[in-house]
Amino acid sequence: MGRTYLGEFEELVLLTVGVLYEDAYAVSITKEIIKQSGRSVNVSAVHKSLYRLEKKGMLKSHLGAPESRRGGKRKRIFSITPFGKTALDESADLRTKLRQQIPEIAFKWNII
Amino acid sequence: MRKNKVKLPGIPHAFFRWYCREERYEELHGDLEEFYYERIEEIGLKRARLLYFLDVLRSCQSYAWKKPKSQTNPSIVMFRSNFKIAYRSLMRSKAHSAINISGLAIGIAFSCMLYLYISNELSYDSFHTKSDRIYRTLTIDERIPDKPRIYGQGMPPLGPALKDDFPEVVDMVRLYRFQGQIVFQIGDVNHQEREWYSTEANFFEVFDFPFVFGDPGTALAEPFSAVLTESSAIRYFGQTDIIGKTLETEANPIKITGVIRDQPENSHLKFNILVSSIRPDDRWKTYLSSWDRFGTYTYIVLDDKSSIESLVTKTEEFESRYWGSFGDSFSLDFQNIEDIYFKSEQIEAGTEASRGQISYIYIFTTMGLFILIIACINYINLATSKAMFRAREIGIRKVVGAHKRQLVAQFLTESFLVTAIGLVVAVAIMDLAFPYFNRITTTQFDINLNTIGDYAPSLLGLALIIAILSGGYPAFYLSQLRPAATLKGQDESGKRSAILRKGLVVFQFVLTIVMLVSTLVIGKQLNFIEDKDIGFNKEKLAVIDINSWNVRGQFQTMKNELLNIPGVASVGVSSRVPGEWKNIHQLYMRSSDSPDGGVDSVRTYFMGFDDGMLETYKFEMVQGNYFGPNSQNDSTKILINEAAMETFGLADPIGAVLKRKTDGELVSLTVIGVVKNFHFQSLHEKISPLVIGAWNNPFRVIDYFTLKVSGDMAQVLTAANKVHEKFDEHTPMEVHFLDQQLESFYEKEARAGMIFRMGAGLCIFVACLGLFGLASFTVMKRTKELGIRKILGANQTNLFLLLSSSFTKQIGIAFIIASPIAYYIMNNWLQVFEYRVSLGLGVFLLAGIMAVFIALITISYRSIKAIRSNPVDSLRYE
Repeated sequence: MGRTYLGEFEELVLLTVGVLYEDAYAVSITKEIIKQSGRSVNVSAVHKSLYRLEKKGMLKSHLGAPESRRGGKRKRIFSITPFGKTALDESADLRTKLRQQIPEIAFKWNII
Repeated sequence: MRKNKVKLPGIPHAFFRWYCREERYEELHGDLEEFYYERIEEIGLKRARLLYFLDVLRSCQSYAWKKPKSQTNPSIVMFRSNFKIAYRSLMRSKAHSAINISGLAIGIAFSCMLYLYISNELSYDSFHTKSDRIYRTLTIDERIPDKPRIYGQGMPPLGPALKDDFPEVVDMVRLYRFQGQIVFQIGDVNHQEREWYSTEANFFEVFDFPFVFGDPGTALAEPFSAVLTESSAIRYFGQTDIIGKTLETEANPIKITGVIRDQPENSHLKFNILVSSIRPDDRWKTYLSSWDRFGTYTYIVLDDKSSIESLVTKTEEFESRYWGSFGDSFSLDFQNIEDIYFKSEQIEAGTEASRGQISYIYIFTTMGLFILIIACINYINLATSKAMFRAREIGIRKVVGAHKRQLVAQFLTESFLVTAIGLVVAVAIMDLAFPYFNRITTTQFDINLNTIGDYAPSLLGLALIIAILSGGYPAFYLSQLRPAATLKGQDESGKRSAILRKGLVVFQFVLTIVMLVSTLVIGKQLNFIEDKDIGFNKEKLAVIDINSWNVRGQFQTMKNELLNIPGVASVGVSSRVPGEWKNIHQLYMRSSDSPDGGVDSVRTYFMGFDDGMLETYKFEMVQGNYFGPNSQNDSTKILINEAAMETFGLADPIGAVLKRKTDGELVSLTVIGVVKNFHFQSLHEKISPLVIGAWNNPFRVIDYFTLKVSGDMAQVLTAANKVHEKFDEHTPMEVHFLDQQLESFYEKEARAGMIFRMGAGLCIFVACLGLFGLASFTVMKRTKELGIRKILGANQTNLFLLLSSSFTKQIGIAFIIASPIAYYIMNNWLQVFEYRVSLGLGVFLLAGIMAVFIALITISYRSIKAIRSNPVDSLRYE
């Protein structure tokens, strides 16, 4: 229960890794986040989060095949671990739970 | 899929490679590359490169860094711990650290600047690749055997003859400056240039002056070619790319074939324009092959196997072959160009633009060392007195098993850290001080990101020496303390270190007092020069050069027009002026009763004056009369000064006849008057015999008008310029102000005086910093004692005397040691001047009192605070 803290940007990266499934590596993740959220994201920030999530055990990774468009270098492909899924679920649950506890009246601004 | 043939930006990529850990390089850089190639397609190479660079910078984070290897090497672990402890100890006593660091920083900065200045001076002419093989020829005039004169020039055919006759002379180049200035037009504007030489095609093979435009091999191959320096190109044309433009002259136009960089500061040759042969006339051809003519500057290049000594042994035979009877009284010599700057004191009429004085190099070296030593002593003194407070730390370290070696390492780390911080501060100080320093020394040092590499070796070397010098003794001293004694709280700092400390303070103040005395003496001498009555009135004299024969012919008319200018009190016309900056002519003369033939007996200086000079310069007549206004008949009449009267041994000078051989004919000159001795040369020189002829004397033509101005100088000069233009259409008017010219005689001394003052000030400051630190230690150590004394009834004066007496005593001893040293040094320095101040007791006493006074002020801050404090506070502190 909340043993590992998941940062907001980290959560975004973790989700995107899931979305991209078998093609999740830094470049594609960066582009996907930019596309979906409209934020300007630098690949270094994504790198930072990816390695940290891997260290926390929420992601695992393996090296792909060399590609010429990356100067013949291999890419590191990430995928979600079961623990990663638990963390995502807990985070989402917590949010929904909290959202549901907000009394309706809190949104009724024009009554008073 | 595109084939990548685009290269990655080199430096960012290398940087990435450097910081990125090996096992992540492939994936991380792969990602960056993917973005990079995509962006090239999308937004172009340039911006892609920029973004790649930014990516590299942004990726420089901990996830990408190489992992620090975990340290198992004990010495590195120890170093880290030492460093940490050194840092903490610095922070604990901030005041002392500040004293140490600022003292060292000032010392490093000042001595480094002096070092740069000295090495610049010593590097004169060494920038030519052949500098060790280039020699200039000298001609020695031995007509008066015990007073030979050496000239930096020689006969025109000398160079080619040397090259033809001696195989070891592989090259030679000749320079001429056959008239004082070269005059030319650009567009409609007249210009004249005094810094010029005419030379030969291979000039740039012998000397290395880098070209900006043009080809060094061919630039001076054709006659009527010119090479300008960058700054003169800008001055004349407003730009540097001026190849193919011309300088119009009365004869042929001169074509510009090259632009070179300005000569470096440390070149003895200084010129703005260099021309190839611009005189195709027959007279010039005759000159070039005449062995009885003079005025050519010849440089030769030896091959790398031969020595100049072997060449010198062969010159006698060479002289007799070409010089005939000349060879008896003249001889040939050579001087390496690297020696020209410092070893040309005796050489007349050479090419050197300025001469260095080696004695200043010694003085400045000593000064730099002084201030460094003082700063190092500060460190030693403060570190050993601090020992008292750190004794317990050292004791415990030893008890838990620290080796002596480790303690030494720890204290050395401390001194290295202090020096390193001092170094950084020193660089900042230098950066701030360079503009000021450059103005004094007329050098062009600058410290910035581009040049710091040049300074780094000397700075680092200096810092290393300082760290070892200042850290060495304290390290060994502190590590020797006995743990048992220190832990029991016994004062282990002991007699030995106290005596050493006192000795070092004495030494510091010896150096300081020597500097103080020197500064005072130099100041006194410079004032003396400024105020000395030089025998004529130098104020508001404007000297105008005569540069044309037209002016010489009509000088009377021009003089009258100048006299008509409102604000001009009088006008004198002369061949040379008192306080002359150019060569003053010399003649050999003898009195009528000495036997004829052979060598003339007395060498005298000679100037030609007209009737206006007496009023203009206001020198005094002792006997006889001055030249009359109707001076047509005065051409063989002369005046002599008192020195000449004495040298010729004339008891009754008026009407005496002096003789002078000119072109084989004996000219008799009648003395009509004696002038009081005046200083027509700088005060470095003794007043020599001087013969003053009339303006129409048979030896020298007139060269100057001197205007005594009573009104506004600027207005007079504007009017004088109009008059000048009327008589001389070609050359712009050249004006010198005599008082400024006289000042320039002592420029070197004034400059040295400034540096000295700066050095002395810094020495005192740094020494006082140390004294301040020491005083606060003493006070701290004696707080309890002072409290008890106060309770027992000592008053504040007693206590102050008690605290300051030991320092005063040390300064007293320093004074006794320093005085003879300072006397010796300053006495030597004063020998340069023929007219000098005496070294009275006054300066020494003044310096001593100043030292004591400054020291007392320094001490008093701490001691008065301690004396004033309530004894209860100081006694209760346990």
